Amino acid sequence: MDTHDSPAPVLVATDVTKAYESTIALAGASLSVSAGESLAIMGASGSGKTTLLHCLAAVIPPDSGSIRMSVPGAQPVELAGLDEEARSQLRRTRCGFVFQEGLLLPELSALENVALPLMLTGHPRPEAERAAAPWLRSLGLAGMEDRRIGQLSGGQAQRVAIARAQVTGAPVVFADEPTGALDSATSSDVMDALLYATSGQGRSLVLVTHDAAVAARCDRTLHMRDGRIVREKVAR
Amino acid sequence: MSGSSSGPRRVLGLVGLLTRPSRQGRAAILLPSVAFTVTTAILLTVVSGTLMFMRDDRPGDDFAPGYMVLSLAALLFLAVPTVSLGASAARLSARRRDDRLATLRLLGASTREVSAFTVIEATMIAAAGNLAGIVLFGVLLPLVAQLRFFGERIGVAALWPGWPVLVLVPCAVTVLAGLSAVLGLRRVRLTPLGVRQRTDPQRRSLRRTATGIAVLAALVLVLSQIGMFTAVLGTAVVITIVLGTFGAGLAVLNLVGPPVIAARGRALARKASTPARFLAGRQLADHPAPVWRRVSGLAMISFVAVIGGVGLAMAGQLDENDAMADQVIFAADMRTGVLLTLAIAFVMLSCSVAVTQAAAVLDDAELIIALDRLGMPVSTWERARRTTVLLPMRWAALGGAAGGFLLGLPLMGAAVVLTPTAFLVVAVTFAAGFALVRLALTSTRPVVTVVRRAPDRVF
Repeated sequence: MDTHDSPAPVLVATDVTKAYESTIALAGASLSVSAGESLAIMGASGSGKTTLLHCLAAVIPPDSGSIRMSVPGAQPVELAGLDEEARSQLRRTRCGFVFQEGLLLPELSALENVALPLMLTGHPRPEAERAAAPWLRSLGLAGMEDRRIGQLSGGQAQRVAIARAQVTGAPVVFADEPTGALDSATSSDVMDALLYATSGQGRSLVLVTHDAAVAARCDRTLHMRDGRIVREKVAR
Repeated sequence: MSGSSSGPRRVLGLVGLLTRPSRQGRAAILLPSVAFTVTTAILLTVVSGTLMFMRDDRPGDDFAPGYMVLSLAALLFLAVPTVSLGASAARLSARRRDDRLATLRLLGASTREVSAFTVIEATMIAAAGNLAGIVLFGVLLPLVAQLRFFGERIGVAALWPGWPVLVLVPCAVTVLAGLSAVLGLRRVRLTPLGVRQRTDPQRRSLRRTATGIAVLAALVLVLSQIGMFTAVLGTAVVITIVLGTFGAGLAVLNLVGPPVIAARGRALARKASTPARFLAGRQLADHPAPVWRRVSGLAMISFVAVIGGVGLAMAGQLDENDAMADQVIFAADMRTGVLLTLAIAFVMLSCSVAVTQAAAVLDDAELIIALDRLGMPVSTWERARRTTVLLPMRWAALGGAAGGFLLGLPLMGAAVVLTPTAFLVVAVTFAAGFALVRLALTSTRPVVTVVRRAPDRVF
């Protein structure tokens, strides 16, 4: 699949490959993501969609190919050449994450979970918590700031994860099956919240999902098979 | 369908299927097996030594009770870390089963089947380790027999514990492993989602701390009046009471440790200005019991160091020019015994720390991955991990030493307890213990790296 032409791409991946020993996870995937765009990546299990997401989000380095992140107000960065420390810094400052299991810390309250990325970038805790609170409120979690993650429903926990992904002002948010563990009604609510908090605010969203209904809510959908992007569908 | 297999056959089938070594599981099987090997070998050595001191007629009538008391004290002190290492090993081997057992419950396996599977697998791993432990004991026996007691080498024949002991000790460790595994997996049996929902903060009440302090005060009182009981109860009963008091002192330390750690964690999280200290504080506040277990060996070893230091001080006070030959030999044996007890305790501590740290990394895998995704620098995570170990370790070391001094003072008096020798032994023990725990922490860094780099393969 060729890269998607767009006037202002924040993320451009070209011929990305990744193998785990003898298993080829990515076999030359190329794509681009524009500022404010929501992009869904679909495919069967083992098609390479999560590995692609991890490469795009600087969680793992690709074996070959190029991934270039260009966000306003900062120098473009080539992800493929970054070492572990640099990738960590990039994730801290430019990426937000929402995963199926949330990857929220059960030891922390909802507010503290959202404030944590700001603390990691050096903000004092009171300031980080002050900045985090409005995000929780805007996602319908007012009054639940002090609850532990285990005291929230699945949908509420995902909203906390969405708030956490937004709090640093990350220009790109990556979501891996964000509605995978939710019923259809809650799933729809979470997607509303996710789209409001990302493309609704001019940020880009890259989302991996099995759910066609979830993908249909995004601007564009890429289908993967055997580590390659084989089809693209643009929402009307 | 032609019919399902019976319960026991189904369980044995599951054991056969799920105990196959896997890439990730190999270390989780090997580490507890090695720990069980060490546990059995050391326990056999210590029991053999104690039996030797109780049976050997080389010490004269005047010194025989002294040898017996000291060897029983050593057995008591070493039994605690040995049993604790066995329990740690059992917990580690249980850890790798957690997720699979939860899956089995989700798939409809009954509580009884999951329990049976747990016991069988834990027992198999322990039994294999214990068999190797008997072999290791066979290797150690001639070496330990070279030690000098009673003014001569003790010899293999004197140290040989007999076949019943050789069978009973490994069997006891195996049973302990099975019980630990069952206790450790209660939550999995309660709910199929059990281990996936580790969110309940374990509240440790102040009441528990107060109870511990009250018990400790009562023990000090008993020991301060112990002289009065000798005439009434006889020496043997009094000795039993003293040893029981030491055992109770160690138990109190383990009772008080977790709530103290939880309180320190809450204070740390409240005042934290950095993410590392904040996360460490919350970890300590929410998981004080496992955190305490990781360092409780040091509390015990500090306790033993104080009592051992007192023993060395007493041995050092003997004027060899004026003393009888038997007294000189007894003092030298006491010195050897104290150093041997401490050396064995250190071996147990290093094994225990390595096992618990490895288990801790497996426990924290989800947390490690979550923080890595957020872009937490490795150095921040390492700082948090260090704090969660070193802060409770300081409390464990101080608590153990304080307990030892408190119980030693009424029994032996300040002149013997508060000597430079006793303090020197405690200081050296602290330094060696801290170094050992830091080493264990460093040695598990590669495991953390593996978890961070290949999260998809961990789960």
